[in-house]
Amino acid sequence: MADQLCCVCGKVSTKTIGQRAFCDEHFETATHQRKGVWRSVWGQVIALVVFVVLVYAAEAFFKPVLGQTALVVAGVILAVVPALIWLAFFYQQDRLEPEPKAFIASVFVLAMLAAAAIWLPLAENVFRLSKWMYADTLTTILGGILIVGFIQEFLKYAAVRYSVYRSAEFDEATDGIVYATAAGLGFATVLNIHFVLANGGVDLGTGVIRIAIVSLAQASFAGITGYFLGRAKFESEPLWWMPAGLTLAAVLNGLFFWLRTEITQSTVTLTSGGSNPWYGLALAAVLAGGTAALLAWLIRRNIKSALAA
Amino acid sequence: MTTATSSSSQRSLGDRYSDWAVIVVTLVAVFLGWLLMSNVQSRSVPFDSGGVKGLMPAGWVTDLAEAGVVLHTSELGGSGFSTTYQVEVIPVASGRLPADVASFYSIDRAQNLNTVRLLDQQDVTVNGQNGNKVTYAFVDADSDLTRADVPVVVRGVDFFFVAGDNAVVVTFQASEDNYEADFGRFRRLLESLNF
Repeated sequence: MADQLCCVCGKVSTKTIGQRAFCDEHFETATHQRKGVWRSVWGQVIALVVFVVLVYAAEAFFKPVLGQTALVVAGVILAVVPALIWLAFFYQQDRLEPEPKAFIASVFVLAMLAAAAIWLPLAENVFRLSKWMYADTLTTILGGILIVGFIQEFLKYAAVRYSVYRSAEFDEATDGIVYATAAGLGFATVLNIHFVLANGGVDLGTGVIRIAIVSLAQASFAGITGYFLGRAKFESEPLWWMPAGLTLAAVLNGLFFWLRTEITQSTVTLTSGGSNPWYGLALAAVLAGGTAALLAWLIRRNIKSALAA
Repeated sequence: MTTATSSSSQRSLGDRYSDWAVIVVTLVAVFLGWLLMSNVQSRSVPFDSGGVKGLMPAGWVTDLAEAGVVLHTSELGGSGFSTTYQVEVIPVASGRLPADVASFYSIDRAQNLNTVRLLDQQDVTVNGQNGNKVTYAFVDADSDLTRADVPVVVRGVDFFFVAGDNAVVVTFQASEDNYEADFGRFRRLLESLNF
C-alpha cells in the first residue's frame, strides 16, 4: 500500500483534509483556530480610524504651515503608518506562533516592487487611465474591474504565490490571508507614497484619510485572494477555484473605488465644497471589518467540517 | 512493502493548472479592458462649422473664442497642458500653395511665442489632398498666475491645405509626454475632415 506524504513537509501522512494528506503536526496547524490574525485585522481597522481622527483633529487645531518638502516628508511618513500599525498588531496578537518576520517582509517588499515597477508604469504610461476611465459610470466600473482590479489583484497574488506559498512556513489556511494582507499593505504603501510625491505633498487632514482608505481597501481585497490561496494549498480545489478568488477580489476592487468616488462626491453649492472623504473612510472601514468577519467565519467553518470529516 | 508517494502524484486538475488558469483569466480581463479603452478613446461626435465637417473626440471641451477658428477642442481633466485639436479657416490670395501659407503662419506664431522652435516642414498628402505639414515645439508658460506648476514643453503639428480662397489649418498640440500617444486620435480627426 502506498503512503501519502504530508502536503506541507513531505513526511508520511496520517490524516487527510479534502483529499490533501497531512502529518500529525501539520494536521494540527491546518485545523488551528488562529484568533490572533482576526484580532490584528480588527485592531488595525480601529487603530487606523483613531489615527486618522487624531491627525485630522491635530491638523484642524494647530493648522501647521508646512513647506512643500515638509508636506512631502509628512505624507510619506503617513503612507507607511497603516502597514506599521498592522505589523504591530499582528506580532502582538500572533506572538505564540509568529510567522517569520523575513517572510512577511519579503512579501511586503515584493508587492511594493510589483506596484512601483509594474502597476504604476502600466496605469500611467500604457493604459493612461486618467484620460479615459472616468468618461461615464459604466466605463469607470468596467475599467476599474478589468484593468485596475485584475492587474492589482494578480500582482498581489503573484507576490505570495511565487514566494512563500511553497515554503513549510505556509502551514495554515489562515497564512494565505496573513501573507496576502502583507502584500496588500505593501502595494498600498507604494500607491500612497506615489500619490504624495505626484502631488508634491498632501494636505495632512484629507491626505491621511485617503491613505487609510487605500490601505484598508488594498489589504481587504488581498485578504480575499489570500483566503482562496490558503484553501487551494490545504484542500484539493477545482480548476476554477483560484481564478474565481482573483475575479471576486478584482470585482470588489473595481466596485469599491467607483462607489467611494460616488459617495464622497457631494453636491457643490455656493457655501459648501464638492466632497466628503469621511464617507470613503467609513466605507473602507466597513469593507475591511466585513471582509475580516466573513473570512474568519469561512475559515472557522472549514476547520469544523475538516475535523468532523 | 510500503512505498511513500508524493501527494504531487495525485494532484488534481486544479492543483496542476490553477496558476495557468489565473494567468489566462487575468490576460483575458486585461485584453477586454484594452478593448474598452480603445472603444472609449475612439468615440467621436460630428461637427459642422464654417464650411468644415468632420469628427471630433466625444467629451472634449469646445470653445470658439478666436475669429476664423471653426473648431477648438481640448481634452478634459488631467493636470498640465491639455491636448488640443484646432481647425482654423483663413482667407488667402488665390494661387497660394500650402507651403507658402505654412511659412506665413509659422512666422506669425514665432512672433507671438518667444519659445517656439520649428522642427520640420514637409509637403504631405492627406486623403488625396495636397498639403504642408509643420512640426514645432514651444514652452507652455501662460500668464495665469494661479498656476503653480512648472511650464511644460509642448509639441505641435500644423497641417495646411488650400481650398479656393481659403486655407484650412489643422493643429494638434500636446505635452511632450502625451504627443505620441494622442497623435492617433488626431489622425482620425484629420482624415475625417471635409471642406
